[in-house]
Amino acid sequence: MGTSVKDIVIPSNAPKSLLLLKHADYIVSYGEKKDDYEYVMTEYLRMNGMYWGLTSLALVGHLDKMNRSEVIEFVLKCQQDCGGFSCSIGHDPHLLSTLSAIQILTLYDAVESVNTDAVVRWIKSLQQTDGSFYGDKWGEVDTRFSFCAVACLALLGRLDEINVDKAVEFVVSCMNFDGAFGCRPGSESHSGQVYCCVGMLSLAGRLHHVNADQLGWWLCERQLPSGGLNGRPEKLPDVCYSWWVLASLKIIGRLHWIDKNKLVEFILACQDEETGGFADRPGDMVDPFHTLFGLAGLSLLGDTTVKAVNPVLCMPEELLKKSKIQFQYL
Amino acid sequence: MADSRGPRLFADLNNVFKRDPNIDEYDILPVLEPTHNRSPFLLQEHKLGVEAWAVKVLMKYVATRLIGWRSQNPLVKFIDPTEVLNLTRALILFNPDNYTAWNVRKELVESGFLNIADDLQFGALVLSKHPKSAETFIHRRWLFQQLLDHCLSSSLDSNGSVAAVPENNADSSISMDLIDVDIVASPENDGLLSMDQSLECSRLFKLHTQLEMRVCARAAERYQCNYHAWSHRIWIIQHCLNCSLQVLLSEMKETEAWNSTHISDHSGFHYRQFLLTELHKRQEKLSLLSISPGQLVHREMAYVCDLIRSYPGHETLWYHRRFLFCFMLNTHPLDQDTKLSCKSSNGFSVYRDQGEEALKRHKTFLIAQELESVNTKQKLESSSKYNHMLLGKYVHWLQTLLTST
Repeated sequence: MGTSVKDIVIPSNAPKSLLLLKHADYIVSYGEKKDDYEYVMTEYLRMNGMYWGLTSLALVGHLDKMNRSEVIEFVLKCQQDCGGFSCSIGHDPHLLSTLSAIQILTLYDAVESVNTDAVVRWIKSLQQTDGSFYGDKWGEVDTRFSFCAVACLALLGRLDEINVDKAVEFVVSCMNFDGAFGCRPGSESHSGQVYCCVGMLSLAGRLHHVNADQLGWWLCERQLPSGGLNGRPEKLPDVCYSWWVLASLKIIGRLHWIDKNKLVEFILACQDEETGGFADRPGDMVDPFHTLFGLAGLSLLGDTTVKAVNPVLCMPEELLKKSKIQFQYL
Repeated sequence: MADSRGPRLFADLNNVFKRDPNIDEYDILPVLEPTHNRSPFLLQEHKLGVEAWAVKVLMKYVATRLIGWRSQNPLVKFIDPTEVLNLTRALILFNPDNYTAWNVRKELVESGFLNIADDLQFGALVLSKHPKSAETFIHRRWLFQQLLDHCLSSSLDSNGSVAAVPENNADSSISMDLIDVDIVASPENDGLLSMDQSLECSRLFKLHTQLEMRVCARAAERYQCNYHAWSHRIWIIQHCLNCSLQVLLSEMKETEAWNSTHISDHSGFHYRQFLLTELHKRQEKLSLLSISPGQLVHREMAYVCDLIRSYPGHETLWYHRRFLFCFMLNTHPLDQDTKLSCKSSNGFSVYRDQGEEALKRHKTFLIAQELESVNTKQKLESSSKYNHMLLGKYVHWLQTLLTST
């Protein structure tokens, strides 16, 4: 009798050391495949995908392997008349792709090459009277969009353009009894949403709304016997939560509450020794999304072969040090 | 490079939907190479199968054509609305999170070319294969918002009595108290043409809301811990059903059996937490039905303890217990009394302090009692090692409550 915990077992032959260069090669070759069925199917994520890939390269010190002007040209083409960015050419603008676009431009120190006033105006127009943000003109509300809006404006140095008090009020209204956050008031707690809410509160300088012990405890309970982290109770571990959960813990000053060695072992086991790149779990297919969050997780866990990552914006720390952005940490 | 088979496959798919507009499920068949003289589309009893090789060719064609048109690529200028609609259908069936394609459909709804009911039916079909597609649920919320706006404006036209704007003001939106989600909807019931527009609108709205609960239930059934399905259901309760008491109570009843057979589904249990929280907010109305929120929570606690005993080793159940215990702790009658006495005793801080002290003592007592109960009873009952670990975590959590009280 007795049900076993929902978890995976790390195979004994799984990688145990970081294959830094292989990951750079993987990202570069991923960017070169263009006429694939996969390419068509992932186009709605193109801008995010470029951010994941380029940030991975920046974290391993190989951003120079990509063609800077080609990337910037693509991003510029995706800015729409309203000011927002679309995920790809011919697609519609959205806050999710707009944040990725601004992050990419920041990586390349090229923010000034786009119309930033128009971006700011558009983001402002998406804030509602209750403080929440629409993701685009069609009206969907989600705490992820609150993070995107605030992160974009912080990167542009224009956070004072929106009603920050109201924005904070809305995010806090999405907090649950366990100290964690959901996508809207009344919705279930979710580690990805926690990251967005905690990150937003850090940028707004309002982390006092968080019950750090309670939330920290909930986040730590995401660690499973394999060492990996899940996003919600009774879900399987996944490398991307090495980022969402870990970054949240770092922001609220509770990173030491988890078993670091076991998590490092889990993340390393998710690498593909042949192709490079990280998968969600050992043995699965790799992709740029999990590659970034694997690398960024290792960086937060103190691996010095990866560059230091900023826990709020998931970008190289050295780059953001030059900016005037204020990050609050507990 | 363009594949000449694309336009042909697209036309074939459109014909399949013409032949059977009521396809209710579809999937990809693992056929990697085309076979001579055989169509890659298989249709049987409203189920559609599409051979894998054809999906690949079709996707490349429809994505290029639709997005080319959207980006004003001069090569694909003239497309009629029917073709645009069909392109979005083909693309979304296999690429459901392509939000731009959904936006094109929103524009077609706005221009009156696509009707809301048909689009809801299409979304339900997409969810049969992609039950956790975020964009599909997002589009459905937009469609429901359209329905709400239509109802509001038509009832304004007909009698002008609905003055409130439903958005951001749950209590003043259209009263949907009479909706009974238990009723089996009958879309064929069409003998209402003479009704005025407002009644017709609200009838349609009720019908779709009822159907939507079933769409959510089906998606939850197809994918465990379906965050999008359950948060969508919550949105419907909040925005379309105004969190009405009857609906909340009927949902409590309705989902109990489901939860008993899905004891690892944290999203499903969170839904009950949402319902209980909303019921608590309406305790005055609730008391008119001779129900107290306390009763409901105690009943729920007995229910979850029973499940923990029957099915040891499920984190979800222990989390639900945490919620319920916290709820009992923070909604205790003493707590309400203290708040009242605080309000009425301006300047009499001695009384307030005494009240707070009593409350603190009482909370400490409740926590100690719960600790005692899990330490003695449950330890004896549970034999699984994992359940012991979960129990240990629960005890630790109670202890942190004790220190923070």
